[in-house]
Amino acid sequence: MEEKYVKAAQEILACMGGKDNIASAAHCATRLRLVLKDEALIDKDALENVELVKGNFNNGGQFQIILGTGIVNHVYAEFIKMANITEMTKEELKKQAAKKMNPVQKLLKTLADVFVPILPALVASGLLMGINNILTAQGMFVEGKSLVEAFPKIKDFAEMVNLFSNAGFTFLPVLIGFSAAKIFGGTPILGAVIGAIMIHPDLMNGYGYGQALLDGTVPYWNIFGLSVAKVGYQGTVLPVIASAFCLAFVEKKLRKIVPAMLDNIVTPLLSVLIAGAMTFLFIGPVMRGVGDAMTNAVMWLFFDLGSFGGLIYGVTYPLLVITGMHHSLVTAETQILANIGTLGGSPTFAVVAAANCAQGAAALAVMFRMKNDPKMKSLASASGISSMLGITEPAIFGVNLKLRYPFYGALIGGGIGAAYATLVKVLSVSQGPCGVIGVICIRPDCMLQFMVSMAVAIVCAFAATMVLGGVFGKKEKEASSAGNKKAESVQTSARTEKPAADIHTEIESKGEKVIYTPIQGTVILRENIPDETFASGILGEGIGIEPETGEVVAPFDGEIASIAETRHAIGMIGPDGMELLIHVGVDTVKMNGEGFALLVSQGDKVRAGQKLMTFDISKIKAAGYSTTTAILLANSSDYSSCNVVKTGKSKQMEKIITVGHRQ
Amino acid sequence: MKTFNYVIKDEVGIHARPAGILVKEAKKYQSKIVVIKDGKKAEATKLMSLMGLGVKCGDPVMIEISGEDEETASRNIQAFFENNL
Repeated sequence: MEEKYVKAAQEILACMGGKDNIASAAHCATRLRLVLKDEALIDKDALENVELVKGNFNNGGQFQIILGTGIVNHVYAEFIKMANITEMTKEELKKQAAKKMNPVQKLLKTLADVFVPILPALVASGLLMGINNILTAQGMFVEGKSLVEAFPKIKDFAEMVNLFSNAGFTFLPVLIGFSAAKIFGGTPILGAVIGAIMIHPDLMNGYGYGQALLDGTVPYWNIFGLSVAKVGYQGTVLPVIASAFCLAFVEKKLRKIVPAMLDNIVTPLLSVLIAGAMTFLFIGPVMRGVGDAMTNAVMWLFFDLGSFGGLIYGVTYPLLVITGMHHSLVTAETQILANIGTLGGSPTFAVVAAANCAQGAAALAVMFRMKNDPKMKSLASASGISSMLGITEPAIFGVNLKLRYPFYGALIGGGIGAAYATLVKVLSVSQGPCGVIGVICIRPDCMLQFMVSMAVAIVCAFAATMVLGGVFGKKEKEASSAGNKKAESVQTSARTEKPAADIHTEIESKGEKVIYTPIQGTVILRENIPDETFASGILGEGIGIEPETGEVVAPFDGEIASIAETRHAIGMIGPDGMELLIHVGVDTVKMNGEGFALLVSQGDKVRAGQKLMTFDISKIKAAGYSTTTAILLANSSDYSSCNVVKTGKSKQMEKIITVGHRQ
Repeated sequence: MKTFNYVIKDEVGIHARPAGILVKEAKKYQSKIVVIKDGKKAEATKLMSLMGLGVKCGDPVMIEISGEDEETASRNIQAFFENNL
């Protein structure tokens, strides 16, 4: 038994181009999912000859190998041993965490996605600013003088470094425009153009706007009778993101209506013209206000609430890291730093650095506690040190969250360190690595206090972890051996009317798979669906349902493979590679999503009975379309049989179709 | 291997019905037919992966055809795209 799995894992690994080609591995109920460094190395023919492999395909950068329930977990366990990868990569965990998000979380996630690609630019600018900082700091190396004053020869060099470090921030809207347009599905380079428009030198500089408003010297354009402020958006973040969103939106609409011949000329022209005009008319002024409010909120947290605000921020930060949303905080920090002249520096840096150092210290505490587990010990030491230097994910995901108690220890230490840093007002002048070496990004007069804050965070986190470890230490062994289970439990909280376990036993005992009714209503034969294409069977065997309620649940455990942009159809992949299409109504693609609401997105794993979408029956009828919903097994020809169990009235989750073994 | 590029003109893109008839057409040939959009690949015989590409009207796609009957297949598939998609 065991040997079979070892053999399969070995052969699969060989077909994937060896262990050096595996970027990450995970598995779901039936499939081994691999992200490969080079997909050209896959030997598909050989793979199909591996005994346990039932099929394979490539979807969205993931190479998936179908092995089947009860097999895949064993093969996976062997596979990761051979490929020498850790069980849970941080990306997977992040993705799983990202699945259940409310609109606020989605917004923060979007901000984060926009900033992640820009971070290298911010790091380069930040560190250059750090160098400049060291060169011009009074009394840091030479009593009463800065290095530049002591050695006048390096003055021009310092000026040059300063110019380099400024450029990234000065032209930040161009970078943001590029990145945001890409995230929103527009053309990145047009996003950069919008960003450039917003900081064009002919506009009045945005920094002077407040003063000009008081003096009544703001220049205006007269655009067809509307007076529009001719003011730039230097040092702002949100207006650019909103304008890029507008650009992408306009561009996507245009691509649909402009004939292909003219697309290359007309679409860029109109997109930039419309988005640019919208920027100065509406988006810019509104988002400038929102951005200022956001910055003020962060400033209020720190400057008015003082150390208590710092404590809140320091404790919340690692929680945001888990969801990947911490990058959205860069938005506020960037805006604060862009206005450094009036604010003196950003208080957020030291707080984040304290939180990061605390995570590192907690991981190091684990290293001391886990003497008998060499694997965990080496992971804890490496990730602990990297955390002190500002990269926390390995420590958070690899060690602290796995064992739980170090994470709490780190929150305590990070909170105390952050509160202290805020109390003594440690301000940063740039962005950079948020760890101990981040000291070069701190205002020279705060550097000593910065180091003290870090020490406080580290000592408190270490001590708290040691104490908590003594109390909860018993769980360490279980947790480290069962680390993989936690990742899976994230997704199993969904409502199931029929326990998933039953379904699996059913599959295994009879060798047949079951499709349950996804919608309450009247079940009719496929041939009677009032649509030629569905009725003809081109899209596979199945049934139609005349729905009584507008709620669709998953008809089996599986994964959302595709979702129509117009929200009226869902494709699912289920046990043994079943590909099922749920198409609500006939010709409803023309309703453009009106009346349909999706509760899942592409790539989500769902359990049988979990709610997938809702739709408005009366709206479909009012629009003049049939509500008959097609439930079709797209690859029914791959199976020995596909039998409709009953027709007529049916509730949700009744057994409706049975599917035979795969041929 | 034969390849050609195509910009989708069907207003719903490669959605259920167009995808269904494409699968049916693709199954006529022995050659492996792959539709590529933004680097994502899908076999034209697999409805779910095809729909998973999310190809919309106006999107450019590339089609790769490889196998014994690739000459005929590529000619017919190209004509099929022009007439149906």
